[in-house]
Amino acid sequence: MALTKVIGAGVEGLTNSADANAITISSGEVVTFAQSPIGTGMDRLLSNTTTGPASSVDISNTYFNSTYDTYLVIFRLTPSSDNVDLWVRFATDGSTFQTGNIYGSAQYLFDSDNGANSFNAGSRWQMTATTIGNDTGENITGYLYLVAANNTAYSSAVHGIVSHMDTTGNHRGSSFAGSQIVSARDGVVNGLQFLFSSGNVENSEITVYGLDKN
Amino acid sequence: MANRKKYVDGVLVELTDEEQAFRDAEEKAWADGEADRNMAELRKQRNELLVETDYMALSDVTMTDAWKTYRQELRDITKQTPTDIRLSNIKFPEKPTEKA
Repeated sequence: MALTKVIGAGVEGLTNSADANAITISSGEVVTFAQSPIGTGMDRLLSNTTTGPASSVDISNTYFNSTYDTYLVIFRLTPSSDNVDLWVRFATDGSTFQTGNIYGSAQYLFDSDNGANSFNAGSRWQMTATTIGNDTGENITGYLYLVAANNTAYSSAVHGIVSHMDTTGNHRGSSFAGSQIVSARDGVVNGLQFLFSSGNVENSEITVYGLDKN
Repeated sequence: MANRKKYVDGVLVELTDEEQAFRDAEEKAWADGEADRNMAELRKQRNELLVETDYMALSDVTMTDAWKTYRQELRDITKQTPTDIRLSNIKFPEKPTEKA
């Protein structure tokens, strides 16, 4: 018989003895599984908050590694300096972030009919199509998907959208896409570094989910 | 003087001398490029305003002198002399109130 009712003190309606203890709910509404759920769903790997100024916020191969190939990263960062872009770099050895001109990057500012920016071989991926302000309440929020993180035949890439305030406090929205350039495609991506084009990251909140293994 | 710090997996650590030197050079390059970035942004905003009134130049539309002057002032905006790196003295022309 299927589960028909769940109440705060437990489960009613489970009469099949094979399933009776698969899920239990305590009187405190705590759900317990008799065995680990099987599946490949989103796995929250990291939820990190920083509250003091730092040159960058780095996430190492403790979180980006061969366990997953596709990741979702949700972020909010506040710059300490006015009029800056948000950049992201990757590591191929888990912790050393690449600074060579191996990043292809494009951004589009939704607020403009002429909002395209791009570079083919820069020293970072750029998340913003116009700069961010740092007055009280100004910051940048967004998400990115990191795909093909462990692929060494084709370029690893990031895609996403950001929302932020510009230097006059007006809202701006941008999409971005970036990948390793062709000559750098043989490197995996097993670390991400968030930094601003100048100054510090005043504070941040970053959550990393593992989504899929190819 | 101690180097700046970075967060690694939530732990605050000091930049190495090499990282600090790279970051200093990167920030200097960013600061040195501000005038070029601001001028590029000015051109972008100017171009958007020109596009708004491009239809007035169609053969079946008669553009008034006021709009001709406005569009010419937009095209000439980069000829103004900036007094600072943020181009704070550069003013966009006001749109004519008359209809095209």
